[in-house]
Amino acid sequence: MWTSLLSTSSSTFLPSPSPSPSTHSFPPPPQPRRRLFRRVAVVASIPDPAEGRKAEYTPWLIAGLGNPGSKYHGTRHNVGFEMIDRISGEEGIVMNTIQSKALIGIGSIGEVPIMLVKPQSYMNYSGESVGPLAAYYQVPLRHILLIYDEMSLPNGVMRLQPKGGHGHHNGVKSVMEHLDGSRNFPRLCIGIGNPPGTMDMRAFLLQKFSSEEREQINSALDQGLEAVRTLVLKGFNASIDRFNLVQKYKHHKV
Amino acid sequence: MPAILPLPTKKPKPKSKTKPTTTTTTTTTTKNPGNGNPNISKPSPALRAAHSRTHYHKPVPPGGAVLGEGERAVVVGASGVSYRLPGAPFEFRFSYSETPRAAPLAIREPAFLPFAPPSMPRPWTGKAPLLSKKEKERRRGKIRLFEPLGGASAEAEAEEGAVVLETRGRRPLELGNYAAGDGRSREEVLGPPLTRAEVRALVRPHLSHNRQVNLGRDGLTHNMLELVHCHWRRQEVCKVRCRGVPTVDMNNICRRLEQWQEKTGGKIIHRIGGIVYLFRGRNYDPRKRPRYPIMLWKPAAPVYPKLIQEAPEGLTKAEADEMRDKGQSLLPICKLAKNGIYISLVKDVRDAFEGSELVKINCEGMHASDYKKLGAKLKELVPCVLLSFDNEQILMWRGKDWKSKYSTPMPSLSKLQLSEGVLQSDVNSSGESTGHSDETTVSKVLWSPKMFSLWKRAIDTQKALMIDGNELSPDSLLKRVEEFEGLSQAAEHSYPALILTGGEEPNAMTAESNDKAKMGISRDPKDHDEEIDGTDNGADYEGSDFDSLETDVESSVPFGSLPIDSIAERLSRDC
Repeated sequence: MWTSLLSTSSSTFLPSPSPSPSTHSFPPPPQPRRRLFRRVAVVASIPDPAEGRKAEYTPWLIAGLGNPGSKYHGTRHNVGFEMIDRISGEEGIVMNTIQSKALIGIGSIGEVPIMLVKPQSYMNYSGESVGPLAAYYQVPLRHILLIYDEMSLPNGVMRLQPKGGHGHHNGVKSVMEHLDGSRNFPRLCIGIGNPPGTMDMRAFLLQKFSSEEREQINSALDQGLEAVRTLVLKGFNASIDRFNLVQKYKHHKV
Repeated sequence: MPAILPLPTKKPKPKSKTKPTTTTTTTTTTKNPGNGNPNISKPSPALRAAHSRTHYHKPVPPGGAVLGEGERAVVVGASGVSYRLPGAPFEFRFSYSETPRAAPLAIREPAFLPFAPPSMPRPWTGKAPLLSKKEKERRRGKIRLFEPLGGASAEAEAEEGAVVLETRGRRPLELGNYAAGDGRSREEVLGPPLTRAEVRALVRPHLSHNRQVNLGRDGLTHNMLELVHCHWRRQEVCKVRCRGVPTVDMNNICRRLEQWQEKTGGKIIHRIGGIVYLFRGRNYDPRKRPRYPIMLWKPAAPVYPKLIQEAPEGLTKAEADEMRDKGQSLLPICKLAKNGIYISLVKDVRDAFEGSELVKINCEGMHASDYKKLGAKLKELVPCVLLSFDNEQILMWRGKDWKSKYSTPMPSLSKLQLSEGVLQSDVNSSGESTGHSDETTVSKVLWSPKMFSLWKRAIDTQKALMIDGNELSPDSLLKRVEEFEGLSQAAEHSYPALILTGGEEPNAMTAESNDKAKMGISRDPKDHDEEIDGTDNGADYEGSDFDSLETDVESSVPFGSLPIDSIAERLSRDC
């Protein structure tokens, strides 16, 4: 496994056929450690064709925000958790590890490694678990996907954005704080609609869904799963824009 | 003597056929309250639309018509009503941007040109009208010159029979004189193009200032040409603020401004939202500018073909009615404000058509003429078919020949495609996955080696805990997480304790050290030396005496093995 570690750490370079004496005359390369490893890998290990050619994809960290405990299970504020459960179910990723106050599961969608995270700190402190996790697993900022509920979208409408603000969502605010105040991470917003009339916002968020809303959310989660797959495999492109438009007008049908 | 006023119902009396309705644009006439009740808020005279209720109706043949004789003519053609005047550089129109593409069917008033007549049958022998109360107020603080500015030149320019509107206290306004400018081309007047810094400097003072030309539901009107030149006389940049129906097609407005500008010489330097900043040109000379006659009244709009047909575009009446019924229960895609900016409306409607063939827009609060004009514009821009305007909503159908802008239907990644890829890579790296399958019970999922190594290290260094995640209720999960958090924090933040000899409370100290020894791993996994030391000391602590601890003090904390020491060493090495 040690050799495989070495080969993957240098996997961005293709292994050279043999170290030629002419390389010594070049000026010292900026990363001498890497070059050393490359030579060692070529000389010491038997080149495995699959490992040599396979590039290591940058992992994604998919975090769903919610409140822990059965008191908050299935409430509006916890749609993030439900989405993560759906992804883990469909992709066969078992969430079996507790690290940094969160329940995590490591796996992959296709070739891309992903990590599903359900922070078990309360919503306002989600950043304390997501931030250190991203740092530990060396996930870059642009590959942290945050899934949360959004009151400005109608119920069941989703939106995938490459970056954005917090929209007065305490969970997102805390995550942004722990990521050094940066807003440039992608997010999947799941709409839950405005509180009716003059209902208190917090009471609305901690309420469970009604039956029609429940059906809408379930179908939305399926659609969102497709979108997450596309995002992880292909990144932000025209199909994501199309997904956003389809979601925006999906309730305006006859 | 007070007249006996009629009851307060404001209906205009039916006008005779030959006399055109005139509403002068000059401000010398004051509003005459027709009824005696001052509390009823009167609708704005601009919206009174007396013209639409006239009984005059003269159809125009489909090829267009030229009404009037000789040089002064009213041309009714495919692009609406325009006025031809002798010596004019182009045909004047009431509105240059808001003319619908449909050809008019009839005109609503006799074909008079809304400009001043070229000459009067006899010279004017009267006096200018008296000043109104407001004008006297305005004049109160001002100093009257013996000769008004430009007064001498005005008299010199006035020719025999020329039409001059006399005003008190101001220079007389010439109507009906027009000049095509001094013949310079647009490029000459504009001069070299502006740099970005210059543009910013020019636009900056106007950004929060409301000295502007307002462009409303009539779009770019003829009198606006004069108005912009008046602004340009005082400042180099004229700010044009567009609101309402014309903003549906801002590009059209900008194109018309640029087109028109070719005749006057001006350039759009900045455009944001519904606001356009017009620069007059570096070599602009207000004295040599082109002069156009002003339109004295708003001419009646001609009759256009009906927007909503009973059975539009090949549908039968029954089908159309069925669609209208379906539209009753449709959610509107947006609600439009009364005088708002609708820049993204066309794009939104086009996107909505991708999902559904019927689209409804909520126009509550807008005037009926406004949302009908809006519907007409949408019909041209988004090609669509208007079905109904009832309940102040616009209902549209995308038409039979609608083509989606996407070439493929919505692609969906099926689980099938993915699982094939997973199985393939499973076979290739079977060595790894069999190694993993000990830990993960049922997973056929490929783990990236880097992630796996990080995960393994986390578990080994007690930062992570593996649990059986399947049958765990949220409450018990929370409890376990909180428990583990306490333990792992202790592991992370602890260091093998220095227990100095002191005799008091030895038991407690031992217990503490034993706990920590069981975790026994120091915080920084990078330093292998430290790790080994920690575990060794842990083993030592379990069975050792307190007396021997004094000798162990030095060995338990090897000098220079704290994390801060490694940082200091690295820094001193670097510099």
